Amino acid sequence: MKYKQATRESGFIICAALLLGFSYTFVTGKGFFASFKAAAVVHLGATGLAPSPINLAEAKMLFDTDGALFVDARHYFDFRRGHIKSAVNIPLSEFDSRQKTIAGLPRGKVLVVYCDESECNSSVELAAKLYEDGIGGVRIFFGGWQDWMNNKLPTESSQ
Amino acid sequence: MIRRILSNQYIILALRILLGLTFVFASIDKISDPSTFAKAITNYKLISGSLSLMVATVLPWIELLCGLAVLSGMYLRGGALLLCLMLSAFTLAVITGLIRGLDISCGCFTLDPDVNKIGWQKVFENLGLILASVVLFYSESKHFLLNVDSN
Repeated sequence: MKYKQATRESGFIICAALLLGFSYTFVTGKGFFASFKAAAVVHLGATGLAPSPINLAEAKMLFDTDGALFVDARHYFDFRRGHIKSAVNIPLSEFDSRQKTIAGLPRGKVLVVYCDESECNSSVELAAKLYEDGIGGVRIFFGGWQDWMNNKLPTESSQ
Repeated sequence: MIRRILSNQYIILALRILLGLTFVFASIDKISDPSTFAKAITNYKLISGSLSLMVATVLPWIELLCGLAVLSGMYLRGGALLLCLMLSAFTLAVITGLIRGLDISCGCFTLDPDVNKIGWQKVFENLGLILASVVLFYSESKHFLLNVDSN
């Protein structure tokens, strides 16, 4: 009797949790459904199209779903003070001397390039150079470090 | 002795409040940010990223509903059974993580990566909660329940 009752009640709780969980993430665009949106962006990147811009929401989506590698185009000094969590640093001015890092960039994964904020050009130039080097799936996050930081998204520093 | 514990209304009420509040509070952070919770699950390196995202979408809601179930007394046995199963799975995950030498956040009560690292203390905490959920499952107290009839 106890076990039958417990099984019935557990089944009800699991069904309710499935319904609530998927409804909530569908409405808010979080979790499971965020990955669907990110997958669409990743698909665009994987086709090898030329670099194209993404906004903060798309950058965050790729970050949340681990769908992209963030590439910081700023000077090492700025990068060391703070950068998007898990980003790698390829300063535009050091592009030629960083060939080893560039060769190690994952193929088939979206690269999100950023610099300080929307007024800087190094992200655009670095994205173009990466594309010329045959790396597809490059996205440019124009909002950059300032936009990311102002929205209190995950960061880290190397100091 | 065991029968006395199982039918003692105050012990059962205390355990219900302990387990219920623990899981209600543990679920809130995870519900609000399932992607970060999915990362915490992926850190255990037991399941793939897409599966962990699906787990992170549903599991916090099971925790919340089970917490409410044992707090209110509605679906007390079902809630206690699920809590026991979930806690056993969490404990196994933590133990395998410790054996493999992982230095990761537990992802249990908060998603802050700098606090609540996995450790043997977490295993013993979980074992205590498992014991509490087993006691609730077999409890015979009919006091302070929202639906006395189902017990």
